[in-house]
Amino acid sequence: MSADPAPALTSTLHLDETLADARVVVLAGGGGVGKTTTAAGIGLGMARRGRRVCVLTIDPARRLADALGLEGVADEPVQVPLEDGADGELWVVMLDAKSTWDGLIRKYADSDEAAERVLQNRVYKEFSGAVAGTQEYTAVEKLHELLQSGRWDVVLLDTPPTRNALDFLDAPQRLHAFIDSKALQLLLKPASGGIGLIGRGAGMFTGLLKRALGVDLLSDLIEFFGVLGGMSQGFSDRARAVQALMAEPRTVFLLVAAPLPESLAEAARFRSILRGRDIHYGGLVVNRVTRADQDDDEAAVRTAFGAHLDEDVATRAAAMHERVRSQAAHDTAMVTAHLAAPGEERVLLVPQLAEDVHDVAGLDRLGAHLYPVPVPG
Amino acid sequence: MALMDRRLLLVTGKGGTGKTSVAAALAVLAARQGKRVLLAEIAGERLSELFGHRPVGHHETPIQNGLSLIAIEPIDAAHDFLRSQVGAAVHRVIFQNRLFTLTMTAAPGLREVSTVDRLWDLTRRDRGRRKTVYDLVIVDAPATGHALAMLRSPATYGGLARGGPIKKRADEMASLLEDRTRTSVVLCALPEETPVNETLETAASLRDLHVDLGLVVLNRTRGTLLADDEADAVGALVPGALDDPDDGGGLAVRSAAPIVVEHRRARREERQQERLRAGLDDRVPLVLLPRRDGEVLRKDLGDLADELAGAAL
Repeated sequence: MSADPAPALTSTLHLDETLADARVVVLAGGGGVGKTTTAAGIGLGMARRGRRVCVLTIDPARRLADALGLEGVADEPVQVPLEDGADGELWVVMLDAKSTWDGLIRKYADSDEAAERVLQNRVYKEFSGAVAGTQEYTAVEKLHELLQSGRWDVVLLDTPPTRNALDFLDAPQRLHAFIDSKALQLLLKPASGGIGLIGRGAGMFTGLLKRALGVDLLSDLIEFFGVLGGMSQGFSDRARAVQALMAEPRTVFLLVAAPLPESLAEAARFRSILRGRDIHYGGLVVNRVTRADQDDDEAAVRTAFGAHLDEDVATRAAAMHERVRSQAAHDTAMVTAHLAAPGEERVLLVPQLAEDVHDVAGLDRLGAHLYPVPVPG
Repeated sequence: MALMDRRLLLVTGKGGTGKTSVAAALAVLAARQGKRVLLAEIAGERLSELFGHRPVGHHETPIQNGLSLIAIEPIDAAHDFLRSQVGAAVHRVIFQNRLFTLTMTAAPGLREVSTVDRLWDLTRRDRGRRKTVYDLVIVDAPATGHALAMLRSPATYGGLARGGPIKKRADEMASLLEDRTRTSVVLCALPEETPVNETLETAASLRDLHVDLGLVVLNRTRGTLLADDEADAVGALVPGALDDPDDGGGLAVRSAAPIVVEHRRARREERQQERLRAGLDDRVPLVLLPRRDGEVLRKDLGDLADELAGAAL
């Protein structure tokens, strides 16, 4: 089956322009689309333009992490050496959700002993390591901390891959609601009404829970929420601050996708969610797009190669070109189909590179496509 | 023992590796072999759409010959699980309690163990008169990390509970998962560095958990039609860098760069494929599914099933 000739699709997102005044750049998208590499590539480009940049990442591929000097370093900004003696700086932080949480507990607990008890708490261990939203929350917490320090002009946030964009945007608020719930108040003050209904209710409830689960979780729960409850005001303030930060004109969201149906559909969903909110959406970056000239059919390519190569090699090379051309047509058609109405969404097509990116030189090669116009001056 | 003769197949892998398509194709294949198959997905519902059926929700629903669907919601499964433990009446009383809901969210592994409990029930031979008995339950499981948490949950739970009915049930679940004649995991991967690393790490975790790895599916593979020296000859036609060839030149010049980029990508992927093969136990079959241009649709499931069957399942 030969694909219909796809309408030409060219990049309309110019990062130099879109990110010129950005203080926060949030990159969102599913897993495996090259989000971390894109964040690092954009960050490096900004550093090459003289800005002090910090990239906050969640789970970089090992080789890239090692090349950037992140090996074994969590939660601490690491500076990536740039050989040129440029004015700008590139820093990278690898987020460790668990240790960010542990830090928060130590900060807010009444005493060191109380902190230690919570850190050993079964409910806490589950919560800090796994519960949906906590990783997103700590990412936002860390972002805030980095901005507060004033050490950087711009912070790029490579968000955790989420099934639902709201998980990330709403994490602080949801967490606050969770901690601040009436149910929790009941749990914390089971005897506040003397021997009233609340006390009895909780007692009955505990018994049932113990019978149902075979586990006495109540003491763990009380201890856990006792400390977290003390942090409630902090969470509430932070939720508001984050909301304000996300709505700032100098905060720009970029979506990152691969030229695959599920990935582009996910980006489209995310876009529709962003649209309903007070958020500055910069555009869509599509990675690893296959490129080939659509006008060149297999026979013509074979003939052209025939002048330079053995006939047999020319034939197979032409067959290979046809395969690439077909994929390029599909990639283009798919991206086009998932874009918002023409002119409404800016897109940046990053071609499939000849070699993988796993060091600064690779990021520079990628940068040539992220920033097609070279560094000014 | 043949993969399709197990009772429970858990299909997992990193996001975007084609888990859902592979689970659906395995189900089509098993139904074609005359088995009664239940295809289950967890937290979300996408399979009904793939099969062109209305949403089925938390109910076993026959959708075509020999094949039923269910979408398991962990929180519903947790309610079912608790209802079975405390009785319907008591459950109804505490159902609305927000404290209860809070506990459901915070209790370690409760949703995971409840999901496994549901799967355990679905694989039983003695499900009672009114319920369908399935030869095979295929699960489009959550992404790897979460799937491992699910596999671990009965043991964790059995360890927390000191005795009683829960402990007994958790032990039954654990023995189902560890029984390689009944349960097997199918891992989906892509021929790229990080996905291959993760696949090998998951294989090691499964060994530690004593859970059988029955099949690895390497999705979206591509090959090259050229030998390396031939690709070099093509590449010699490219003026400037491969990633950014100079403009101009004739058709041969313009066509050369994309071919070499594709060739190198195919070679890199072959190296990842070799690394994956070398890292897996020899007895674990590795099936390659070639890259397709478009999305996997219902009409493609038959072809996919053929490709999987070709791998002697």
